[in-house]
Amino acid sequence: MHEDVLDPGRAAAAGAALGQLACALPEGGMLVSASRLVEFNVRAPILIAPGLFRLDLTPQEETLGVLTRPLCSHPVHWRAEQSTWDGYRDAGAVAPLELHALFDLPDGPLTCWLHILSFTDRDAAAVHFVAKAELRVPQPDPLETERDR
Amino acid sequence: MRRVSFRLPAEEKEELLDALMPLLPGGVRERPLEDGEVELTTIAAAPPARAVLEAAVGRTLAGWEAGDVPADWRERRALFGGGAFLVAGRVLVRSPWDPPAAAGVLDLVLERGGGGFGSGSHATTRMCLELLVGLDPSGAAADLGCGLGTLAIAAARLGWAPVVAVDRMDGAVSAARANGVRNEVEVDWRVADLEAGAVPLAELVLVNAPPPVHARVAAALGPAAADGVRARHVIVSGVVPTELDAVAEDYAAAGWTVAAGREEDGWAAALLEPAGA
Repeated sequence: MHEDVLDPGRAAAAGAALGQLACALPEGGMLVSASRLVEFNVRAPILIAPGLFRLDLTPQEETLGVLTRPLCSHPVHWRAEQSTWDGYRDAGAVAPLELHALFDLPDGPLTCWLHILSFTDRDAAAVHFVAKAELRVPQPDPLETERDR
Repeated sequence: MRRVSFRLPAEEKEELLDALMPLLPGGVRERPLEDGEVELTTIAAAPPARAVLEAAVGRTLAGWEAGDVPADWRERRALFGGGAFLVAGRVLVRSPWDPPAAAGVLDLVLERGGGGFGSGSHATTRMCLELLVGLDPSGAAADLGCGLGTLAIAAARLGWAPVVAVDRMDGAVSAARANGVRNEVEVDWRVADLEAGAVPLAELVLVNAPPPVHARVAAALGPAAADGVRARHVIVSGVVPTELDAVAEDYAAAGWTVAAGREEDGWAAALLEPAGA
């Protein structure tokens, strides 16, 4: 399971029409990276992690619709980094919206750190997005491991 | 540019989009139809062929239409809309580039600018408008935290007068003033910090603002209100449902009770009236 969902070739193929890139992370896991220009009030697929989720964004003039559409039936818990919630509306700051996910897969948990940068171009009535997802198998805390011994 | 539209059953939409979205990088506009279907529209220089999309979903796509459209979004907006919000079937909030409202619908034309909030695309603005159109205009109105001026302009157009509107952002008030001119209304636009300065009151008070502003307004509306204005309606929003309880408590302490409530997209709004009224 981990091998499938962390396969860069599979991820690149799944997001080929979106132009997304995927590669292995040096310390394990996979990075999926994508960018898109989306007009206001359009729901667009930004990034696909096959077998896990698809990120759809719907930019409006003052809000951003964020949907992490599950592509698997395994339990998943998403949470947003509260300190980043206003990033979309604040034209004066360039800070990513951050979401964290924990996928409960049959062969163990998998974490996802998703960050989304946006730049609103009002003259074009559109928003530029840059998104990337870092997928990793969580490593045991060395301190806890030591304590368990 | 090519514009392609088709219909999907609403209850199957998400499952079918799982197959379609990877093929539609430009995304889709969704328009719910009255017959339980959703119209999806995509615009691209070279959208996928119908056969490709139908193969992906394994069915014929109903209502298929395709045609050339202008590349410029303003020209497309003028043809198809897409940036307007109809509230309670009575008020249309739109950009200058969307088609005008139908006869009998209040047509509000708002342009964003100055970092202001309230173009109608946010649930709190829409809910405040829904509550506002349900009131009989009778007296003055104060829009506290006016942003782009949507609520103040709507109040003025509905017949409330005089109208005062306040925001702490100079740029927002400048944009609101321009929107007031655009909509041909008389509004007293002011730059002020409601968390620190005086709180103007009126028969109708509109507060689409964060909780600290509500605390100040509630205190101003209490028995100690000194300026002799008897507010009769307060429309509050800018809060999520869990915050509304605490905000309503502030107003309750000042003698106000919730007469009607709304929730949409994780946001809350309420119409408050004097307790016992």
